[in-house]
Amino acid sequence: MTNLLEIKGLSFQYGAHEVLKNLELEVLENELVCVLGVNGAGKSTLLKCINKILPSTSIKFELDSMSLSELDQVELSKLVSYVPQSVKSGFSIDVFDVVMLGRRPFINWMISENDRNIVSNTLRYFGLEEFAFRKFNMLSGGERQRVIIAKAIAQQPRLFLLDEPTSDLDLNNQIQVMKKIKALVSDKENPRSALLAIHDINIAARFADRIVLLSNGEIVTSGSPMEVLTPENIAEVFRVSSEVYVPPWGPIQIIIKDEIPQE
Amino acid sequence: MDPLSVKHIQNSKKQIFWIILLCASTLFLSIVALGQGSSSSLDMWLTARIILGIDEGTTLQSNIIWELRFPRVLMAIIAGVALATAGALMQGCLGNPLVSPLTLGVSSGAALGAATAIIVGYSVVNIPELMVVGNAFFFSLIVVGIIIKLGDMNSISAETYILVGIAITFISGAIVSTLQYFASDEQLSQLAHWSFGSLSRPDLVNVMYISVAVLGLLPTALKWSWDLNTLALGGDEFAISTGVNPRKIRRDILILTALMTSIVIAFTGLIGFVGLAAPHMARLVVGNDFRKLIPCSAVFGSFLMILADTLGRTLFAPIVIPVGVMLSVIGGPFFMYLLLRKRS
Repeated sequence: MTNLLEIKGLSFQYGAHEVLKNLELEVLENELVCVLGVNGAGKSTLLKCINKILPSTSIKFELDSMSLSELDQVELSKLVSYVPQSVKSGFSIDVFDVVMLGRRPFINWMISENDRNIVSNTLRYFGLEEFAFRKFNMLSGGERQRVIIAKAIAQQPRLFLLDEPTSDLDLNNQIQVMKKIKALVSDKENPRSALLAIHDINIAARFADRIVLLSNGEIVTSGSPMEVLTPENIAEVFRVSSEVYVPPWGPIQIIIKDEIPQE
Repeated sequence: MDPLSVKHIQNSKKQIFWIILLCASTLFLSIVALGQGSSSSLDMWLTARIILGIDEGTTLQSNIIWELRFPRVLMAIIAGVALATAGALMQGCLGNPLVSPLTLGVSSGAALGAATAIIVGYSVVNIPELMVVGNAFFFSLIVVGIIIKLGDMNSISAETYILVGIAITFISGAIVSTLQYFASDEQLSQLAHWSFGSLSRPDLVNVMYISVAVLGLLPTALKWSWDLNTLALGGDEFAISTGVNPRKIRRDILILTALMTSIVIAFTGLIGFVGLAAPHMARLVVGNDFRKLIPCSAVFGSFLMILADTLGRTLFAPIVIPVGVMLSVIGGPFFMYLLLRKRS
């Protein structure tokens, strides 16, 4: 398997506060990686550094064997699409046009038939046809989140960066959306990868190929859900007690029991 | 083709149809405006025939039209285009619907320049008829300079631009008030007259220069449409994720709009309302796709300016009500009606 993203020695600080400390991370082709960690662990900052929303210093920062510092923002947006935790809606436009913004790196002025078809297909893929010509700011939080994920998919990148993509979704939609992202990432013909910052440990356990546990800007451990999501690791990083249930088939399930009081 | 794509194309065509209809109405209104005035020997049809070159009219008639009324109507069109476009661009790049071309302090800079020329008698331009205009333009350029300097700073946000603009407005306002305190009655009335906003000051040659400058800057404005679409919807981080550099775009747009506003305001005085209202009216017709919003705002701007100026000239003839005043008096309530109707 080839590396899509390779990061060595990534650091970032807000003022004197060091958020990411000498981080090393690789994402393979066709791999879905979930980053777990407490609030302020540096999950969102990591995603923003990769998308160059935040300026970072690093020894090696490569995407598809190209150095990230050499890519300009338009070139980068053809390779990476980023879904923020929430999108404030300023001047609202139709949902169809929001998803069309994913095609912006490829459009000069006129929208081509191909762009329109990509947008139509993506809307249909996400079951958003009925919303296509409604205003974005009239939608509920969960509907908006799906639209923004649809926009990221219409961008047709190599790497998805998703910050809490299921935070506003109901249970059914959480599974639907994750299944769709997983299906896109598993497509061998068209190798893509995804890096998710997520809080829902069971969603991560079910869909991730690999889980990275992040604490205080450092990677505690990384590996398959079975390897990483042990009661000991969960206790160390999240300070909660838990029970891990390994069913004879399917993904492991974690039951969170109680907080572990600080010593 | 996909039914969703078909619907999208249909919507788009509908919006373009509205823009064309609006252009036609503006053209019609300009011909009506050219026909309105104190000379009774000129009705609308004769005016239209003279403009289209079908009828030559008498020398007097053609002089009235080409030398008196035509520069004024053309100035209305150009000022409307410039201020409305500037308004739409600024609202988009600052993500704020309350912003108008006056927000950044360009106009208060111009007012300070005018006041300095009228009251102190100092101007950077020594040609008597261009003293006030030249100084107003020079002082607004100073404000443009401040905006450029701000744009070079690393952590500049949309809010900072707006707040600095407000600070500039207060500072120049205070200096203008101080100058007024020492001014003679005649100077005060001259300054008040400048502030009202009028389209009668520039002659045909000046209007031509202004037109070339404004129309030359317009294509650049349109070039930013897609960047503005992402920036106006989702803010900076969202824009970056689609390949936009929000800091650079914002800086460039504000410099361009400040320039456009300066050019117009130096000649016309303070006309603010059109830059706030025209983009919002356009929004009600074509939505927030800047590829259509910019041209539609421009046409709405011209339409409003011609309408206000023509009414100002004819309503209480022979008294002429300044276009800036007229614009606010008619435009204000109409604008409120449109916004409230949309809410309910």
